[in-house]
Amino acid sequence: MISFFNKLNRVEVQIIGAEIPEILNSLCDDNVSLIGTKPIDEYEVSLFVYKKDFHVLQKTVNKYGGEVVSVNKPFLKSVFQSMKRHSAFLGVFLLLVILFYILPLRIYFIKVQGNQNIDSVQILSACRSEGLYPGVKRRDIRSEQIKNSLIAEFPQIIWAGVNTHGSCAVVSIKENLSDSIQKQPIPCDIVAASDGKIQRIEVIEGEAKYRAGDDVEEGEILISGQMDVGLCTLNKAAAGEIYAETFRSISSVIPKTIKSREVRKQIKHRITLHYQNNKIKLCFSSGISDATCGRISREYFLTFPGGFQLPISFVVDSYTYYVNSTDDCSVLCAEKDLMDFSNRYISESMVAGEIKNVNMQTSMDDNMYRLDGVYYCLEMIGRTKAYEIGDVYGENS
Amino acid sequence: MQDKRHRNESDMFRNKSGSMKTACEIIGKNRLLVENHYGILGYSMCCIHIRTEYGSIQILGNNLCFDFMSRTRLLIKGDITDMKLIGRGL
Repeated sequence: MISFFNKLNRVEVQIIGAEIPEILNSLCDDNVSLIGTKPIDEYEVSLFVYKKDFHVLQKTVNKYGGEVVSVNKPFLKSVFQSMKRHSAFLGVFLLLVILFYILPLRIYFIKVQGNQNIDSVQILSACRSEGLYPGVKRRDIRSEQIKNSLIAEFPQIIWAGVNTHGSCAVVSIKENLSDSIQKQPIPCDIVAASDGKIQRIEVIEGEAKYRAGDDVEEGEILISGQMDVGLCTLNKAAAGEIYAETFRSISSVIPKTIKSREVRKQIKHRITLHYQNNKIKLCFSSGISDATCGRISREYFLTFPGGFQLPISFVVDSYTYYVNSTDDCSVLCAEKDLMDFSNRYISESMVAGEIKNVNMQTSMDDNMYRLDGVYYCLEMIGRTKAYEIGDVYGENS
Repeated sequence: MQDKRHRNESDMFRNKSGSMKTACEIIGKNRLLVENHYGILGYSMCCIHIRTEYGSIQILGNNLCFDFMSRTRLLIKGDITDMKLIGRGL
């Protein structure tokens, strides 16, 4: 193997000159090792030299009025030529290359994840009936078909998916863990979540109690699930959309001084080789003593061409040293941050809708900035409210 | 003990002036090692002239080439048929 790598470190050259023996003698005097010197004709010779000696060779040949021609071979060609003599090594290498390209074409491992109540064996059995088993071709896997089959066979499964990583197929399952599966909608009303003036009301199920333009208060029933059909009253699940104009007020504060972290030293890395439960430390920069350092771990699995993944991984832990500093926050900066926060908070707290107008006022206390804002919004204020225990509901109340 | 023996062997290859003596060694069927040579006088695929302390050595054969060449060592490879010591050297 050493000689193989030595050969990679050589370069083939041709020397053309009138005084070839003198050139060779001079090169030997300069401690240049000449390998495989073959005379081509009286004025030309072919030989190998180490790359480090190439400049000396060029200088010596030029001194004697000769010329050096470098015979550059492609890297892979030179590698294969060097390996020709090591037929066993070459054979194993070619076999591995072929295997690495052929192995990932088929599935050899099937992994089930996400199942809690359903046994993996049952899922694998269902997958087998749909054509997912060890040895199947990757292109023959129909993930949509398997997903539909799993959902149809196991009612607890609400979502399923099949992904392939190299020669490993991963069946991901999502189960419905709630005990009672809601088959029928529970009778309920839609009530107002906040005070406002109704702009638009659309009833899908139930009976509307207000019209557009009416003012409503929080908790009032907007769409009732109770429907009077003459002889009896039907209790149904009310459904609909109610948009109303609302006013929301928000107060947010930010301290005048902000604590921040800045990188004090350069990042240090620790590299560990993980194989099953074994961990081998490969490289670790010493000197980590401070508690003020952040750690980020990244795991890189060894993957061959074609996606064949080995259960060996390199874990790179990056340690970043920080120093805590205290900075003063300017008025403009504080105002901008508070406005951004308030807008985002209001937008996220609405089920649906938009901010129409805003009135803000910034004030400064002893050690903080304060922002008071009143938002005029158009938002959906309807919320479902199920009948509580004791309420009479049913088809014949 | 071993160092002493090595020194004696080393002394054997030195001449009166202290420089190393030229030595030729045939290795196997088609290799010839020349140690402490004084350079090449001429060469071709069938004939190589090497300058030594005692004169020039003429090596005859077919497909001759220098497998390895350094200041002190010269390894000739090929079908060696004859080797002659010609004339007086340095």
